[in-house]
Amino acid sequence: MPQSLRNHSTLHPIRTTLLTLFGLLLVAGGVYATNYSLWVNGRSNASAVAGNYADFIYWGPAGTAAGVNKKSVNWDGYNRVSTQNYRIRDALDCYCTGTNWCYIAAHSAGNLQVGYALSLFGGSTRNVKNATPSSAGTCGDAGGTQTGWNIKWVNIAAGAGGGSELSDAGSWAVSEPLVADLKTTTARALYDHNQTRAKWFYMYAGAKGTLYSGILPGQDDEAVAYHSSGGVSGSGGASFCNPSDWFCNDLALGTAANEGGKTKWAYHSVKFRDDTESLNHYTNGNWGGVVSKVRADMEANAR
Amino acid sequence: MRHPGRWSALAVLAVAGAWLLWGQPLQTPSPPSVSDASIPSASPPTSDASTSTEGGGTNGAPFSPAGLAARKQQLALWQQRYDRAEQVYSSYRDATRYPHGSHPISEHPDQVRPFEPVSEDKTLRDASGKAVKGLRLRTTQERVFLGGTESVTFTIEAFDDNNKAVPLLVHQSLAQTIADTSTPVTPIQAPVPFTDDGVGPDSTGSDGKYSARLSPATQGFANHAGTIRLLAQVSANGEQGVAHFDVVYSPVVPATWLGTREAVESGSLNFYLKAQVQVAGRYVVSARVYDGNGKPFALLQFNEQVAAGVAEFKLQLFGALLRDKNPTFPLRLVDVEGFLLRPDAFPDRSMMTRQSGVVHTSDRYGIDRFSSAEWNSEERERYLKEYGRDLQEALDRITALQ
Repeated sequence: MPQSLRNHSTLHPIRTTLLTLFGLLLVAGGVYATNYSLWVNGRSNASAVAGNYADFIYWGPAGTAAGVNKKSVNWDGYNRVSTQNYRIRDALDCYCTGTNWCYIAAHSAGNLQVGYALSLFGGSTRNVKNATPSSAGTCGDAGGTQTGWNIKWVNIAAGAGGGSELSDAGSWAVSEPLVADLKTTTARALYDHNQTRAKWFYMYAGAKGTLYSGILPGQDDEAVAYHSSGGVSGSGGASFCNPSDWFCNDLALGTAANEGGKTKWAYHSVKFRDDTESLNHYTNGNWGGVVSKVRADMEANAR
Repeated sequence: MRHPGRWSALAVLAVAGAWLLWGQPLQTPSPPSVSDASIPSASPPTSDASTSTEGGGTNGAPFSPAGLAARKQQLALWQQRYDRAEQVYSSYRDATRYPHGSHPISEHPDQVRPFEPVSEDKTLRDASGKAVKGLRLRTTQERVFLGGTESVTFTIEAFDDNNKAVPLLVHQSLAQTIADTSTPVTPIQAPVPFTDDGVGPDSTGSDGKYSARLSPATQGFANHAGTIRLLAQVSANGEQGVAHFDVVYSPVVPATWLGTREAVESGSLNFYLKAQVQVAGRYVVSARVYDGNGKPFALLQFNEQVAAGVAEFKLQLFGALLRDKNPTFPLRLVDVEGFLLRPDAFPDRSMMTRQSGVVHTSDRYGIDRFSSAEWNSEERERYLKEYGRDLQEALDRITALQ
């Protein structure tokens, strides 16, 4: 008898038992935990339908693997962080309460949105929701309350938590409310970036920037500099680079203080530094740029 | 109705079924990168359908070369997951030894001196935003958010690329409101002169550092809640440029401080900041604790709903933190800031008046007055249980694969 068939025959009773158990699991539906992967966009998201968690137009093809049960947390990417933050809190309430847990991925100004939500609302009382959203992006109560949300960790691509020098007059439209929030002084004063309630922010920093190299200090991805994408604490304006640049302080990997002594925000760890200067800021409609690194990590580890 | 959960269960069933029927080793969607050990490789985007789960691989029998290679890949991936799970678990466990609002200030490095001016170095730029090579501006602003009758001081200096001071001229400086709308709104404007004469906001005359002060309540902005932008036209070495400052102003002062008291309660030292609350809502308050040697060692934070009327904001210096750090008494409560958080609005906060410097000095206590018990809460238990489950799973998978 061929080996494969022999095994097949021998395992049959075990398979039957396990299949029965899985069947029972299905019947009992609703009592087990579900993990979700929330994707929080950055600046300029006019084409997406806010509240539609299946709309991945900001990122790329919706069928692309990007973590278990992925959801697109669409905010407009145009107005103030504070006036749009309810979109993020709605999503966190929907998918990250009760027995459900979330992995979070955010891009650019989405860094500010997630940080703002956790720092200022992370200890608030939340209604446990049923993970079934309305068209407005809100979910029904499942009964009970809890403190904060259930978050495993956060991946940040090209984070603008520390703002961007491009928000100063001349580079981006000054009439755009979000641009004012992205000013380095404002972004860094918006909330205590160290207060993540002990959730890790894994930072992915790109360096394929040339267009604004005269304005963005140190290495940049054409929209944000390493001081922001690397989660560096303190004032903006500081230059951080790859180790190959002898004339500029290194952005250190992990949680270590950077060359020159500047530390990172607490619970911020640089997972990826673009030593080959190959990734820019933009998704390019196909999960591109620095987002490609975060997407790969979500696919592998958000499960 | 919990459709997402059901679909997940169906997916699990499908995967398990595939595994059981064909007896293949588990497969993963993307192997760890060889070139970057810290993260998985940036594999080309794959579709959810083709890589949604583990266990669907068909790379050969478990002990075939392909099967062994797949197993090795699996082991590397689970080792990576274990490393992350271990970091997440242990750091959370250690961090939550104290409540989130009572932590060593070393974990909040940029919150130690909240009232120091925000200083930035930036390339000089012309009015169109184009960088002027070889010239940098060093600017400071006393604060970003202000309210009521508070004022804010700004400074500008110019330097060349060798960090040598360059004579600067400030030709014109104007503060104006910035509307958060595309609808045309007549801005409020006021001149805010920069001077280097050692008078008013300028601490030292003729030192090349120009200073200006904006007092929104007395300069025409008393009814404006929102961004005020100060633009200063400057020149240095014959090059023209613009310096650009934003502050967010809210005329309303939602609560006023009334005093501070302390109490040892349940093994912790609690500071109660009394306030007359005019506007109910979520208040965010922070204070630094300095030890008897004048060294900052703790950051205390309050973030709770508060009703109108006389209220006390409780800042807890957690017992275990005191036991662990064993500071010299008396302790000093320093630099208190607070605001009313206004969810879903801009400005998102109404500032209380800053309390700068020493706000309160504690009594002297023996360290044994405080509890060494670590913090506990439903939130902490929930997290440690989940993080611990992830850690155990990774460990089990590694053990099974070895």
